[in-house]
Amino acid sequence: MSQAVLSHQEDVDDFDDTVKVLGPWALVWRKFKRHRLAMWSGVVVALIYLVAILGEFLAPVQIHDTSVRNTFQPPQAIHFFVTREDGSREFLLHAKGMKMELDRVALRRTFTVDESKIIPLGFWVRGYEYKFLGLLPSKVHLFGPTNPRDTVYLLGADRLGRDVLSRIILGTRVSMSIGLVGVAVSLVIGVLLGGASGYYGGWIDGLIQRFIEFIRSVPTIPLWMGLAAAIPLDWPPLRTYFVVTIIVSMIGWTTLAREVRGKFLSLRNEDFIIAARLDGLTNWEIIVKHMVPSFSSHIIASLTLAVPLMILAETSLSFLGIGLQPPIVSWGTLLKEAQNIRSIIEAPWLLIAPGTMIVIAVLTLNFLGDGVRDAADPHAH
Amino acid sequence: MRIRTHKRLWALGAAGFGLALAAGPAALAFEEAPMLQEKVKAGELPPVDERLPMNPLVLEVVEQTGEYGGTIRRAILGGGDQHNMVRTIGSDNIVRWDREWTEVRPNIAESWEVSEDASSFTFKLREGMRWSDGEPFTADDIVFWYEDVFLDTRLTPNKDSTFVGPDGPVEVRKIDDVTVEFDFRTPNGLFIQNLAYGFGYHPAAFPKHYLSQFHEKYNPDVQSLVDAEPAAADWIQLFNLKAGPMDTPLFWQNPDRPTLHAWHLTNAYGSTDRIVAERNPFYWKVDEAGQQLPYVDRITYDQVEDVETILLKAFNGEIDYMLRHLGRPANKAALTDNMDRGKYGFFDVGDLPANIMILMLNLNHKDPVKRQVINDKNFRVGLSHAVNRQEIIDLLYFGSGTPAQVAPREGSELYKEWYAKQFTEYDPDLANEFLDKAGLNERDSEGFRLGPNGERFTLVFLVADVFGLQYPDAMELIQGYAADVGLDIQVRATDRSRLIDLHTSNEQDAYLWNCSGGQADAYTTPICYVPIVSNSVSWAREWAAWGVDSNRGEEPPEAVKEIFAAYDEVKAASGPDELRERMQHVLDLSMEQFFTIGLVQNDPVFGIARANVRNVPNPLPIAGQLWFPAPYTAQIYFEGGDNLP
Amino acid sequence: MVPTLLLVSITTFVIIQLPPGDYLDSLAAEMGESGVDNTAVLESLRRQYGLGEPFYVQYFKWMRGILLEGDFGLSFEKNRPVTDLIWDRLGWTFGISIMTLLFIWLTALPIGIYSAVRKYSVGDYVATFFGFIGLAIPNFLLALVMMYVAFKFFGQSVGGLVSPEYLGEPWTWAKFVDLLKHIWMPIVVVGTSGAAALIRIMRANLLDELYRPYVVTARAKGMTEFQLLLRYPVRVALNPFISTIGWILPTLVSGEIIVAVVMNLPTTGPLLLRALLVQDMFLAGSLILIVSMLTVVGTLISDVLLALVDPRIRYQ
Repeated sequence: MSQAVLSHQEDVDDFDDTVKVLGPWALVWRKFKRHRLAMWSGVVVALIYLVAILGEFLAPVQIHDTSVRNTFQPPQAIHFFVTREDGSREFLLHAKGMKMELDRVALRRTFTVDESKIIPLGFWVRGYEYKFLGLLPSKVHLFGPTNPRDTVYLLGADRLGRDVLSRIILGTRVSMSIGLVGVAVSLVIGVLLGGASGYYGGWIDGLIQRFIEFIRSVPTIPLWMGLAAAIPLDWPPLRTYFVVTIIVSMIGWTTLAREVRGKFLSLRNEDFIIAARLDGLTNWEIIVKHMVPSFSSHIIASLTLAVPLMILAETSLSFLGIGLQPPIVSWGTLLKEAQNIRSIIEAPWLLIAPGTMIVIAVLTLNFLGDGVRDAADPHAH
Repeated sequence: MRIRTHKRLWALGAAGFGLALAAGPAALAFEEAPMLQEKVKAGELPPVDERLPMNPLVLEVVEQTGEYGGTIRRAILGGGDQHNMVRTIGSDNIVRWDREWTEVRPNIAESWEVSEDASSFTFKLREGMRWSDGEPFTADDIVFWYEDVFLDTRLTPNKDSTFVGPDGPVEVRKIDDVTVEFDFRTPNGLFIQNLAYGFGYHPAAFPKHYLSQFHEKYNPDVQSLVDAEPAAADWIQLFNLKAGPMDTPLFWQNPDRPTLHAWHLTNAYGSTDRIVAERNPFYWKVDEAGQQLPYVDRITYDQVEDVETILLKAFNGEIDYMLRHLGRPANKAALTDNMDRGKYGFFDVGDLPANIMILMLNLNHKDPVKRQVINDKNFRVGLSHAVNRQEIIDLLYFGSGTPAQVAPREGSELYKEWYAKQFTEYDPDLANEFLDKAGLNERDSEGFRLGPNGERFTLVFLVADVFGLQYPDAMELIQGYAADVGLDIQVRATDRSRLIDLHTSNEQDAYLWNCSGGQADAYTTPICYVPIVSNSVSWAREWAAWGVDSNRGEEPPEAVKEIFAAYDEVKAASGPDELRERMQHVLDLSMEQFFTIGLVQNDPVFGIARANVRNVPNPLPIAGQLWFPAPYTAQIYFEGGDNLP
Repeated sequence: MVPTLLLVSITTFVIIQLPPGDYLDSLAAEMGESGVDNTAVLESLRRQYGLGEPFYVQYFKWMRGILLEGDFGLSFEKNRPVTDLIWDRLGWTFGISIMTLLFIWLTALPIGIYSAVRKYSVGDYVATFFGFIGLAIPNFLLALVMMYVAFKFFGQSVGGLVSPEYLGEPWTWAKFVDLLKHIWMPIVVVGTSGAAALIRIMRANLLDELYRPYVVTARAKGMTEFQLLLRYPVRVALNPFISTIGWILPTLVSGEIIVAVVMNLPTTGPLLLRALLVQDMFLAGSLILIVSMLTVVGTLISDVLLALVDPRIRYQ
């Protein structure tokens, strides 16, 4: 029934397509495709999640490997040609080595490019062992020095000489999954409570609305701090991670619940719902078969827009020292480690690299969400 | 003017400061700061000669006699940073350590005498000395502290260990207005040293004329004051509010309380953007030219919320003299780069504890299996050999520091090489050997060692990011070293107060911390050599409790009892050589036991002073108990009489 | 509203009680620096702060004080009544909130309209891109970088709202000018994320309106584009601006705690954070309670305003 309504609209909207009848999803997709920024953002988001999944395969250096000689080493550039002794130029993907000097008075290491030392780079190189997708043991990495004994720091090294690039790649996994898990939690709570509120109305609606009002009026940071501080210390990092995720999702679900409720309220008296009810469908059937499909694209849009909020919330928690803790690597913990004057002055790449990743992820997710919303809205032009 | 010879502290040998006294101010008319001169002219203040005691302390200056004027500008964190003030103006006790931290000298007391058996101490106060509000400071004030505060169990339910000897709390008697006797009845050879350290401030911090109004005994109508104070429900709370301990915010929140400090607060800590301490016109120290100290007009503490802001303020030249929060290895490079802009230079700070990074394993663990393993010396030796100390130093501290155990520093009179160097070489094979010997010779499928109960042996280390020493980073490295020899270490990061909460309730496996006792404080705070109840260090809390009261805690093994007995002997020593020999004996026994695993002894840290700040003690010793530079801040001055622009 | 506030007060109290330990543990941690055992002092202080009473007793005492005497209890760390401590800072918080609100409106309104009218133009993309950058950069990062830039390139004194030479001085014209030199930074940092959100809402709402029949009719009747735009669609799309009144205060007080700490603002943020960290529970509890209360009131005000501006809402 709902399909019929929507297809009818499509007929009116779209004069080019005279023969084919498109389903609502195909319609959304077609509109979405026209939104080029959102399209490209979607591609980028997909790439980011791919990075999160592949993880170790892409990370050239083990993330906890420290190196005394490389603390605060600046990023090394990739070069394409080497000049041989006879003066001929030859194509060879490589990075230049770096000379380190220790300044014992100012307590720092200074690095200069060592033109003579050439570190050849390549694809499908051998490196440290890991489990591909968590299953297959492998030593192959997409990119890195061809000699496993060399290391390059393409995005520089941190205070313990750890590779920033590898840490960002593996931090992607934690940060992006926090977004997803957090959104999933928000989704369940939001749809259940918002749906109940909107569908039943009356005192249930009142109760849930008061509850949402209450949650929203408690300032988030104290709420987080109280909850995070209550996490027992003897919990392993992984469990802490999940709890942090749930804490972060505390902010997301109220917005979603309100939107769902609004939709339910407006749909409740639509003709096709009344018709379905007259047909003798149960409440549950009406909700699942008719109501949810008619606004699921809206939910997707809201969810897409909630992911970046979660990512930012995680960085805030890390900043306060109550979120994830080392050795877990996330963009938030990386940023927290760089959140000081020393890093800005001496090692800006520590700040720029995770900062850029966060900005890219948040931006593209936002654009993607906007695109989805525009596409999902039958009234938008 | 009387010039007294005084009996020097026997414990620390003879050195000539009598000279300065003899050449002292007797013949001179005293001079004062221009800002005070004006007040005298306006009739707001009595003349300087009446404000100073008959025999003011002539404070030895670092470089030369200075000139008046200027403001020492510093920054303070919005909360919990009271030591910022304690260590610049607060610590000015009856006696003081000299600038090199080698001997104790007169301060508020112009001299003292010690009985033959070191059980009774008689202090001569300075006649005519005054509190910062102009009221006289006499023996009555000390007796007030003793009888009405210290002995009153409502105000002091537990006594500070400085004033408790082997035979119980001290007895204080007034001989005359300027003479008081502290009697412990049995030898207490460490008392003068303790009195010179931070916590010795008590006797001269309770102005009777001001505080008696809050005391039930002196003010029958105290209830009306209680009613007027919203923060107090009875007179005890009121008294605590007005006479709080110096190392809590309370002390610095009551600017009305008269002090004997060089500068006196004009507003309360925590309630304004800037705390201002103005010069005390009644300060009782002068320089050799007879100028009343302090040289500098005032000290200001700008309240900030974040340490990074302090750093930026320093770059901007908004900090005149400071080591706190700034003097960390991680800040050195950025501070060096901005020296010209901020017009400051560095001075050395001898903050040299017994060790800055210690694996404190809980020898009194509640879990019998863990306790058994941890108490096996082979286990501790094995773990000690497993750690690559030099790599930690290179990574975290740019190579500045030395691999060492928890021990007196080289140069200290208690130093022995084997104390510091035993088991410090990095040798995984040796480590494996010792761990096998400790009974952890079985391994599981992942290569981790099994405990005596057949399950994987895991130590959970608590770690807090404190002292700017990158402890969480260090723990990550240590975890790796331990894994290399098959030992499973788990790290739990937390904050300082929760960490303390856990280890003081004996609920920890182990944690990472530092420990004092590297220099002269080995005598008075041997907290890593002898089990002692402490807020910061717990490696054998139950034994320590037993050491205080054998009905509590848990009876330690014979070897530990022997150490307790040996340290009691130290307290009863009656001569400097005997003191040193007995302490050496304690250390011999303790080092043989190898209670805690030390990793790093640091190099001196640093502070900054702007270019025209003179008489800066360099190097400046500081320690947990040694609240420096407070007794010597008064002789710091600005060349040109004002801050650099 | 009253039950919400009651619930908030209980939750507040639970939140501040959740972390293990109490204020004295924090104090003990600070005192650990003194070098030796000073449990002696701690024992006498435990009594001083009435810690150790059961949870519900503390709560009822606290609530009774607030309701009957307007007494929010005592700050453990500052040893002063909470009411002495917070009004100054609430004043600053209000001041900065209002200015931030103005900043958000002044930037979001024109950009939002422009983006909607010139949808998918280069200008739209540029405007929204910068708006989103503001949303995407974590505030504390932006704050620190801006402070460093102000220090490095403008030679400005950093931290706080006035230069050190004006601290503790009475208000003068010069001090006020100095304040203006500093206050723009936190306003921009805090405002950017809010502005970005509002630009998006404004654009979306305006787009909805622009294609309504009444607009088409008006256009057909020959009304100029500018008049047309301002007379109706913008007025309707203004609703979200009014709603911001409701949320700007809690955002500033809680969400921007971090910015206030980094930038050293005299607002309630740092006070609250510190109170939470050391478990100065009546101070923390009172601040949370007041902020929550203001949020509820703010929402109410914005609802009333909305009803006044938009007859459709009033009708419903």
